[in-house]
Amino acid sequence: MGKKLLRKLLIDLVEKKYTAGDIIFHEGEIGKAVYVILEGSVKIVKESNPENKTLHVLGPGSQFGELALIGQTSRFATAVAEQDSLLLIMYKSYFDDLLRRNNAISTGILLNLAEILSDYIHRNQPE
Amino acid sequence: MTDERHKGGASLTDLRKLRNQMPGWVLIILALAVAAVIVSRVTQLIILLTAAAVIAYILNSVIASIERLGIKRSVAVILLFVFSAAFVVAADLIFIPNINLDVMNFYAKLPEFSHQIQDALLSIAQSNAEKYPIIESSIMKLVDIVFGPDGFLERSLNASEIIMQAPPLIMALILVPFFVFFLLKDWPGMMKRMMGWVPPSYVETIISVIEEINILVGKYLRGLAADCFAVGALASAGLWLIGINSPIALGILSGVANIIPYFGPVVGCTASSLVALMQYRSFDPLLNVVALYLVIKLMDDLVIQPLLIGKGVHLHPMILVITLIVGEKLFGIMGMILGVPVVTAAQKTVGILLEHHRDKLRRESTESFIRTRPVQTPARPI
Repeated sequence: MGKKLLRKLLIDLVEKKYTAGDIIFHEGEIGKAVYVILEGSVKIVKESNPENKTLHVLGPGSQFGELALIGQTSRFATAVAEQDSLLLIMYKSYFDDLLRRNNAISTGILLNLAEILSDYIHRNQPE
Repeated sequence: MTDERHKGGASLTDLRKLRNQMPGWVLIILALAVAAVIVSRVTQLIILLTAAAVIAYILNSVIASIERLGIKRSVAVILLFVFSAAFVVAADLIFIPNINLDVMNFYAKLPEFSHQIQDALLSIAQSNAEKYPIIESSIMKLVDIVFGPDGFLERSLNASEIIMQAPPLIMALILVPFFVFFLLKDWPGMMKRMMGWVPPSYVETIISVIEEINILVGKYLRGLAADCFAVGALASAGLWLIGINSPIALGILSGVANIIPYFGPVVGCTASSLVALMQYRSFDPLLNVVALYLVIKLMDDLVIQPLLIGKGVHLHPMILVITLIVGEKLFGIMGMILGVPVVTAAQKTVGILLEHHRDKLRRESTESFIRTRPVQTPARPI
């Protein structure tokens, strides 16, 4: 994410601090926002998996939560703050507007999603 | 830990014990009762704070646009105030002297105008006295209410009453810009502090409420501005066509008054009717004026508002009227203007909170089902 865009987001969006262990959203919830990590780290966990598998651990500069907004479905996994974190919260209408106005961002997000889904499918393929 | 004593001898520890023993709903009711007492004592201040909050909310998007150019927020706020002050000074030097002259001329001629209207109404009453006595008595009552010794006109022109309104107005002119400055400067910090209090499970719901209200209010304000302009333009054109004096001034008044649903068109029609009465000294042109405003009202309801404001910000007519009455009782004209967007925003908020609650219940029942379903053991091979 470029500095110019990040500065714009810092002006337009709301920040929130999460303490370690806070659940940002649950698997199965209806998604209404995308999150951008400014400080700290967040792990994405598949709660419905009996082993409670950690799918990803994301650090500063990463975004998460866009899958539910693009597909207009419920949350695919649970997001938990791994350590004390500061997140930017982007509501869905702002996210949709950003995708429409900025081709580079929409391409980047879609590529990122394709990578995550491909990784998930490979890891869960029956042997 | 030191046991801090309060007046009356209760310690902090005792107060904490009492708070922990009380049910939550009792504490909420107590807090609301205290808030109601405070609000009733400082109603004037609450009105000023509300006005400042509304102005700051509207100007926040202007400040955000300036910030995106790379200018610090505090500098952006100062720049906005400097430009606003420069505009007010320029207006005072260029436009206000002309408007002052018109207003002074109007007040000088008002007694003569009011006599002319009074004479016109009395002559109409006399000509209808035998045939339609009820019209005569209604007109006499109206003349008394408006022009009588203790009537509306007399009270409006009473200098001492005007002077008595001055101190609250001066206080408003000083306090409101003061509040607006600090609300605008500290807006992001206040939002961040507010979000800090929100539990993680409610964050998305609160963000939804804030953003949906922003979208709704923005749509309403833009639509309302366009609607008022359209109504004002139609009124000006219509009044010019039927030959009524000062069509542009009356059109502007009708457009501005249109901010208040239902009552706004009545204000525009009444002002235009009075001008028609003074101009023609007859009720006949009044029929044209009333017909014009009825046509404008129909066009506004059926075509202009649906196009410009849309369905999202419309209230049921019953709720709309109740909103206007309650708004007027609580906050006067400002209550009538702000009532519609406030109630629409409240409707949206309740809808989002109910959706959050339903979603939470659905998720909890799904999780409970997954936890309690019997584990399927594979069949033993024979």
